[in-house]
Amino acid sequence: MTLPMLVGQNNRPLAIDRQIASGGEGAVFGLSDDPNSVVKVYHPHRPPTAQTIEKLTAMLGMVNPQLLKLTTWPTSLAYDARTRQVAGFVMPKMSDCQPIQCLYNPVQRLKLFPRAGWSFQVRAAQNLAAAFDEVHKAGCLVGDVNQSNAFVSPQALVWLVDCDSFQVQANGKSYLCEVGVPHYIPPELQGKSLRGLTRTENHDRFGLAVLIYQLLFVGRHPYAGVYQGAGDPSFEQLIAEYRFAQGPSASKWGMAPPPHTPTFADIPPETGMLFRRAFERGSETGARPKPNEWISALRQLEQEIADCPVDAGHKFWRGSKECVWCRLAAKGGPEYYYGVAGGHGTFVIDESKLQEIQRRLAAAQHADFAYAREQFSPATPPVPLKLPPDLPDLLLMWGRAKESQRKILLARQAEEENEIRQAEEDEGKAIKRLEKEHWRRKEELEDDYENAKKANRIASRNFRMIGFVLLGAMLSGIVMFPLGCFHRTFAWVGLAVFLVFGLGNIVFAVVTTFSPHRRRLENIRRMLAEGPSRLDDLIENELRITHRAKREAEERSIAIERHQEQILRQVGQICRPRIDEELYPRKQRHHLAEEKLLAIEKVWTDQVNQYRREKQSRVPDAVRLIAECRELSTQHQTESRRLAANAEEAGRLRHLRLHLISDADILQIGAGRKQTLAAHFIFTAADVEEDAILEISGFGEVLTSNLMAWRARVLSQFRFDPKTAVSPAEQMALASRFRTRQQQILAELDRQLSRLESLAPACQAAIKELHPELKKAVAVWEQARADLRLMTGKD
Amino acid sequence: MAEQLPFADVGLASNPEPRCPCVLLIDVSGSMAEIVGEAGKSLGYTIQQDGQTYQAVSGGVTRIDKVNEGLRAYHADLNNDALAAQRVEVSVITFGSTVQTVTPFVTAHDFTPPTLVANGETPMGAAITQAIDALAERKRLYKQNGLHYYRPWIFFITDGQPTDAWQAAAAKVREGEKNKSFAFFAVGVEGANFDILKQISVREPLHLKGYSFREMFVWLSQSQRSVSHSNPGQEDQVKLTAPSGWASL
Repeated sequence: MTLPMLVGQNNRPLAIDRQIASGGEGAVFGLSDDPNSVVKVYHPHRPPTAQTIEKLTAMLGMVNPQLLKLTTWPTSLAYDARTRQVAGFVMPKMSDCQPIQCLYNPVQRLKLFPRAGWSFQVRAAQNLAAAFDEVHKAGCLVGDVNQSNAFVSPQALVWLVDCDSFQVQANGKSYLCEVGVPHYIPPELQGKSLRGLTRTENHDRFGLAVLIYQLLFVGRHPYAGVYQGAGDPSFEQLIAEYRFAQGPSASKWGMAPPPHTPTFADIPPETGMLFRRAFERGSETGARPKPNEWISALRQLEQEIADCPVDAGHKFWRGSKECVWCRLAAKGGPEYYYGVAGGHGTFVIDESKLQEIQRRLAAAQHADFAYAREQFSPATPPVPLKLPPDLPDLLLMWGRAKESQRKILLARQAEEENEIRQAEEDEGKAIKRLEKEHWRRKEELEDDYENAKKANRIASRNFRMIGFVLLGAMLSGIVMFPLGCFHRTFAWVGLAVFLVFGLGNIVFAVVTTFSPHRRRLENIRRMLAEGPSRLDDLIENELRITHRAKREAEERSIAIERHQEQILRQVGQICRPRIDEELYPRKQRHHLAEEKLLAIEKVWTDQVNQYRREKQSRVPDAVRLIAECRELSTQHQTESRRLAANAEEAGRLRHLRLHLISDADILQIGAGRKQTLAAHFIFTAADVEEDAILEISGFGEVLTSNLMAWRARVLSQFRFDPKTAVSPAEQMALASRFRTRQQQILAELDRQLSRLESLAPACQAAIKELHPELKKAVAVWEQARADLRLMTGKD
Repeated sequence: MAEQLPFADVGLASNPEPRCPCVLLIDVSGSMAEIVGEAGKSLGYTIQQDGQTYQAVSGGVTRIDKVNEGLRAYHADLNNDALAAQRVEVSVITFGSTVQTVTPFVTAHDFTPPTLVANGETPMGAAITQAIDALAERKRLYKQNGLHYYRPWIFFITDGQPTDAWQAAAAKVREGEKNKSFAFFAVGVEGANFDILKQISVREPLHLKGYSFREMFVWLSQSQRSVSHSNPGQEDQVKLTAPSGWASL
């Protein structure tokens, strides 16, 4: 806005400095000759009305030193030097203050009041009450109480601002405050027009109580709870219906405190009572606590604030059982006061808690529930049911008969085994013998065969010679025969010779063919060939003998057994009916008792198996979460590094931007060329880019490289310190994120473990219920077993 | 045992401010990749996308580039206002090849503007339904955490016409507006089918002047800042500045 020349009440010009703030009505400027004051100047198009000027003038008359410490109360008027009209007013200057919203909102608080714990907020609440008290004492009301009309200094001092909108009572006249923020407007005024409304202290006290509540309850509004009724009422409706979210009666009007926030158990009952008086139905009758009631209650509370042993940044009311902030975080809620104690820029795994969890996990896995029947046996062994008097003798008789049968059968069994073994031994020996004989005979035959072959060869040679002589004689007959034409005798002799020797030759051939040598040879060869099959026949014969012997032994046994059974049957016919008459009921009882017992035992094992299954299915989840928690440390390191890397990039850019081309000495770049560059939006080293410069006409390779060299020079002066480059707030925010995640995981692990840990006691309880039943069943079963054993002598 | 809340609720719990949720429902269909400024050389071939034929060129600034720039301006402007940064919650849902929640609800303070890429069709109906569902779920979480909220906004930006069934979604928009469950703003970029937009949005759809996405997003941020400084339930009384700088009716 263009400012007219302003003068003060004494007509001296005001030394207007830079603008500090601006709003709908006007702007606030510093005064260069008065560091403790500022001047609010109304927008020229919205000059103050006569009413406003009258109100300001009245306020000037009410000013007192106390007010000037707590409010930006007007101290003098400022006039337009030219028109002499009121253009604004001078007021005290707050320094370093933040809207109260930045203190009650946890996210803003960690940023703007990083060291402010809950005690700081309690103190600010007290100071806020003190400021209200002072305004009320002056006969004024704040009227438009809201989250940005109160400011807080780093020392928790509170300033009320926008004093020109206060409701002022002066000279018998009321100057009203006709605006309001619904969150701070009491139920009885909700939805009503504020125009022409004269507010009361009780109305102001509502706004005060809301702000105090917000400071004490992590920024939550008193009517911001979980609405459990029907429909979807608006915020204003909830206020109008007095649906306060806290206190013992909240559930009566369908409200519950929001999750992950403190409750009335975390503040003294006296303070809680003040809130109830401020917010519950009936408060509209003037019952809301006065500022000094708050002051004394909060002062008392401040003295009862304790330091949390786990985190010094956690301040909590001593009267509550445990640190509320630890409790909320442990249940997976936010770390509202994270890092308030300082030294939290880094993140470490809560190793002790993790180890505790692992110990619990191991312990939860330990329970076994092994079953042993003996543990349910009665203390004294059962006394078996007595037998009828005639039975012992019968049992003895039967027993003896059985015993004798058993012995005989055993003896026979041993005998049979012996017989069989004997037969098998005999068989083995015989076979060995046969084989030996066979080999010996085979060797002999082979020798004979060789001899026979030799003899046969000699004989053959002799036969061949005789054969040749005979053949020659026969041929001489043939030669002689034609001589018959000379003399008939020759023919006859020749023929006779031929026939005689021819026949002789035939006879000789026949004789040699069936010679004894050859026959012998054939004979031996045949015997050699038959040898193996003969042996097989012999062995088979032996096997048959053994088999027969075995069968005979078995048959003997069967016969003996049959005989024994017959004897036993005869004895049985005498004593069994009586015995059975007594035995069957006992057996029956035993059987039933055992069935019953097994059924109960099955319930037991089912229960235990179910427990084991559930345990098995839950353990991996917990193990995974533990691993995930451990993993957080690496993740945090990675993100820290990234943060540092980003900071370095930003720092480099900032550094380049600080170096203006216009101020720099760059080779061959004079004022003219600097202007050309500026015309192309190249002002600083950050803008110097090779491609962009080359495109500018008149800038060739040389000039461009000069510029690039300058940029490189500038860049080389950049020093980056990773430790300081990332702001503590950023580091804290990162660490806070990881710590919250860790808390969530630990809270989830706690839930999982609690569930896991509850399994064993649940199983224990379930099986404990079986104990009486089991005891009874085991007793009955043992009795039945003893009764039976008395008769059978065994289980 | 007390309440068991999922992990995601811690962010809600640590910030007690009333919330002003807004879904930015942005068309990222292929046509949003059309170059609208600083085009480079023609590459001499054409590309078929979203039913239209485009000349391929090198370099240039596309519609979606302008949207991305606008998102960054939106983020920066919102964060200039500490209270708005704690109260306004943004979710970015895009529709192109699929309907995708690019950014789930997050306070402006923690919002990182995404870089969107254009590709695919224009499944408006599915996108609107998803936005409405996301808002319903968010409101449920607010209630569960005892947080109050302003009437949510759906800010719908498109440069085409629906390629899916949109009538059911349009009915939901009308019902939501009637119950004051949310306010639905439709912005049509050059090429948008305004006949259909008029049938979807109860409020008169706005016609973006040129490609002044940046101005549009800054206006959005300014409006949300005004709303977030008012009180839940009274946002109707907030006078928004006319969008004349960037839109025509």
